[in-house]
Amino acid sequence: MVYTPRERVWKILEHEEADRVPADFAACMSWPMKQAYFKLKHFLHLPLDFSEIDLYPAPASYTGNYFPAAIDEEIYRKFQIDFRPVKMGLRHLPFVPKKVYHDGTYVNQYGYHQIAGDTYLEFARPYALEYATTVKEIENDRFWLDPEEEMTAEGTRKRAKELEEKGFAVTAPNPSYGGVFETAWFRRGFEKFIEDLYMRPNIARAVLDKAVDIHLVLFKMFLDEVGDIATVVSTGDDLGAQTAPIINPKIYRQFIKPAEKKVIDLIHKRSGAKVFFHTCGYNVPFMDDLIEIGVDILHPVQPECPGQDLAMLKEKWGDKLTFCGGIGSQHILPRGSPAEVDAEVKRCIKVAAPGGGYIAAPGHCVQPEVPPWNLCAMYEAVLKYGEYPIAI
Amino acid sequence: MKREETLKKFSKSLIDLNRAGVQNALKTALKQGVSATTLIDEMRKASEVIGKRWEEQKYFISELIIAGVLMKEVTDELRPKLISEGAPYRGKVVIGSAPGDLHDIGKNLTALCLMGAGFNVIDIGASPTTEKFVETVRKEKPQIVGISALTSTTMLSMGEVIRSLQAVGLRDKLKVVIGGAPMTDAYAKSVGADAYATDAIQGVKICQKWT
Repeated sequence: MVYTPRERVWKILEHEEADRVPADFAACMSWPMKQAYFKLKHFLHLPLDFSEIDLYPAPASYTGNYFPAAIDEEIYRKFQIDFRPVKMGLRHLPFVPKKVYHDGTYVNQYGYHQIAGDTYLEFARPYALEYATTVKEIENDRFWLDPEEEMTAEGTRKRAKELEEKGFAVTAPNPSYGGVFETAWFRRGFEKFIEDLYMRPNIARAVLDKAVDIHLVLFKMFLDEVGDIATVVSTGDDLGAQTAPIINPKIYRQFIKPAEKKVIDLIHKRSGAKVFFHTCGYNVPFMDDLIEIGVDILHPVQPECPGQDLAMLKEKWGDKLTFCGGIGSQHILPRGSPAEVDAEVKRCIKVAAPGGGYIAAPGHCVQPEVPPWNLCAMYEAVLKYGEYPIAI
Repeated sequence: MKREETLKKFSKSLIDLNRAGVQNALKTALKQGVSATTLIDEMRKASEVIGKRWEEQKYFISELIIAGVLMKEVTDELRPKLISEGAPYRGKVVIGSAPGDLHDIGKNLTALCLMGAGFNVIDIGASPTTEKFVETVRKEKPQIVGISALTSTTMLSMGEVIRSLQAVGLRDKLKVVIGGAPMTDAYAKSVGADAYATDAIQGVKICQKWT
């Protein structure tokens, strides 16, 4: 039986086998950094498009308004990617920072004090709300995003319909910049927000409440348009560092988990889609919590972190979670040979794909130095080994 | 309260991350005439217990940050006294993110933990230039240089820093420890670092071994 990409993805998400393992590249997450993307286009003899050239004058891989540029349809087709994204956007274009400082840092539409780095848009110090001392100051800050005034989901339904008719699995990527925990610390500062959680819980709650409110409005706007069409809706919060959780799981359960649950509940209520959750690094202590609040798909399953081998994860949580990613973007993709990439994909498919519940994708964003031939080797290997029943 | 009791309370409050307890005990101790050197020593011992809790996965990054903040407050409070007492630091560390890397959460945490363990930490911030590393090392004459990187791209510039230190003849006078998410032992060796640390606590242990 031949499946359309959407049918294939739904089968896999229902933990059943389809005709082959689906693959993602920059539709749910796993974006390529600009440098890697342009190398890939060059390697594939694809011409550059104006829409792909960032307007922001820096090597950072995002446009000034944060959203990564769209991926060339030719690449989606070559790699046989099953997903296509439909994105919310800014209501007023072009993007104008809310405030620009003389040192080149600026406040973006989400109210984050940022600077364009060589790879990502980074956070500049002080963080926008770092010096706030009262709940009132937090609540009345004028740089919080006003979703209805500043963002729009206009046109997303039409685009989603077109993609649905073509048979693709439509993804609705997170319309916010990070999850609720991230929004809170992106505005307040990492160390400061952690301090808040332990020493100033009323401030922590005020920042989190505001973040949740914004998320709820954004997702409502978005899902009113595409909720019935989307196969996957993504959100996330980075909870892990390389070898340990960023935050004590107890504190997570007390503050962050209920906030994330509110957002995920709304997604489930307003769409028929599966919830895709991105969280970097070592996340083993949070697995049961994430399942409990309604996460269906976990990304990026960084294999370099201890205890995150796909085989083990699959055995423990494979009946409840679909894993997306797992192909190492810290070592294998940037430094491995095509043959090593091939072997890694084979291994991942062998341990994670039987019975469905696995989407092949890089184990994080594709870093600038990843050679294009490794990306080609990766997606060729997905097609080579990904046929069901898995016989490798 | 006796001095010993105050010190015990000071140490316990630090370990339990009780800010009010730390501040109170610190004030009482100073009133009782406890020297800054003794208090710093007590803090070092407390930081070892905190490190142990981290290794036992009872404490997480968030707790290390709180502990770091408390220890920084104590150090700031005691600094003038330390200078007047002429108390020696355990050693001097110049620390920074790798050139081109603007991420500094891990680096800041390591700097705080080193401070808590009694090191004099010169933090040159996120994405300093290679020249800045070399200049600071020349001026401060540290025993240790720490470099941190988050991404597989920026980790490459660590080698440049080490080679530059070598080129100006400073490399042999100090130890270099690197750290950050994508690091491996093999990579540390290939760029000529003396060691690599998987996390802040291990980084502190390595530095303690060297001083």
